Amino acid sequence: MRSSAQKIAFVGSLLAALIAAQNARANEQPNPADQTPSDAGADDRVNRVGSDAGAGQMPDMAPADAYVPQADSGLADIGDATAQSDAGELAGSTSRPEATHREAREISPARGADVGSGAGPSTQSEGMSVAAMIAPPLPKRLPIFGLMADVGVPDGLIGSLVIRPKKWVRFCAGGGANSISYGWRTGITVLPFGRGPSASLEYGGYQDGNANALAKKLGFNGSPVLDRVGYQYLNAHLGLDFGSRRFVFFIHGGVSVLWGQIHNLDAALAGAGATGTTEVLVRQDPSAKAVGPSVKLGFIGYVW
Amino acid sequence: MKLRLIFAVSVLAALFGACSFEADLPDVQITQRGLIVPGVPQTTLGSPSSTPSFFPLSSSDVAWAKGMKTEVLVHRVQIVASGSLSTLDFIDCVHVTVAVPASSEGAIPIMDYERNEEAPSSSVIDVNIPAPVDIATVWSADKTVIELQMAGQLPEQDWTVDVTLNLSGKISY
Repeated sequence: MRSSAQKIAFVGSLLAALIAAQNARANEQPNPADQTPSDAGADDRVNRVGSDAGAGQMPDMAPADAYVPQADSGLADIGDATAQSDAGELAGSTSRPEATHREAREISPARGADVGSGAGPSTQSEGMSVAAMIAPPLPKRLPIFGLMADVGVPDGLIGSLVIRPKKWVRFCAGGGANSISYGWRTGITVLPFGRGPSASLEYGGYQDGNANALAKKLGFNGSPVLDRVGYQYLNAHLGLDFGSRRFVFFIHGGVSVLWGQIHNLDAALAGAGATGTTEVLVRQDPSAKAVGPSVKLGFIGYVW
Repeated sequence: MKLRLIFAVSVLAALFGACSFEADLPDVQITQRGLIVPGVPQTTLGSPSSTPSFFPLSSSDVAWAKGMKTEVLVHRVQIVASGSLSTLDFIDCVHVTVAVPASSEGAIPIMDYERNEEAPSSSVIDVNIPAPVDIATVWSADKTVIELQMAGQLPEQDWTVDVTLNLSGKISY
């Protein structure tokens, strides 16, 4: 069974052969009466189809023949060598418009333009050019680099650079703030179907910052424990990602593990730590770990 | 569809239910000041002894330290002379236990001290415990008693000491 490309090559060859036959017949049977306004229109079509090569080859042509090289320009689209020889043969012929008129009907403007580009006298290469023209366009590659912004707990507000080497996976790294201090985060997200369900694993951290102002905003009393609050965290999220090419919106949720040091606990307990005859001192900062639900939502814009 | 919904709700419930908090306190120092040790009449036969005890962290203000539920280890015990006492050289041995009053569970010994005859005079008995004892089972009870059993040439009058325990433990919720 022939492939589509072979079929197209065959059709292209057939068209080239027909055109050559028409040219030869036009040379043998001149017919000045064929020069009609409609033919001129046809020539115009051919002229639009053709490249400038044919028109530029004979700048000194008489006005009556001016359309001939233009018509030849359509032929030149089939093959430069053929077209040039045709131009030489047909320069003085009044029957040329008839031939070009038919050719214009037989070769659609789009095809004519493409056929002429770089095709040689070989009918096989002409056919291949047609095949290349008709072949479906290659799918555009997905943009790889993007910018992401998301907000959530315990992530805070994070801006990241995103790299998507494959449709089903992306990496991110960035920085942000959580109203207490600045931090960073890096992670990987897997999308088994390229969009929709996703699974993410992220690791981040916030350096120590004073959380007293935030506590007061939220209606709590200040405490020495809040003088230095920092933590690291690990997110394990499932979620949904909408969109896939340039813009992605996502909502992720799951479990997070937070860990860090609790500073100044001793100072915080100084008031309450000595009641009556009992005194409690925390001589070394405790380390704390919390596991809990977490959620975040955000979007990605792929730029390149 | 219903199954999917149930599955999704179950997963979410599991996720949101998986909340926990754990703090590792490597060094918490609890001091009982002015512990009164009853005097022992000199007429007592044999080596006179006294067994004072106290209930640490009975105050709600410091009860958070009782939140240490797991791996509560005693690393060090200090007994410091207070009041008019200038030395504790008269104490020959000390035995410290932790127990829950009116409980069938036996007291857990945490320290045994015996004075060296050649030891210099000091107002402090400081014992590091090389193999810390886990007292979590009794520490987590509502009321925990720490008992000191002291023997030696004890004063006839009541006297006082400060007792300090250095603990480590984990608070978890």
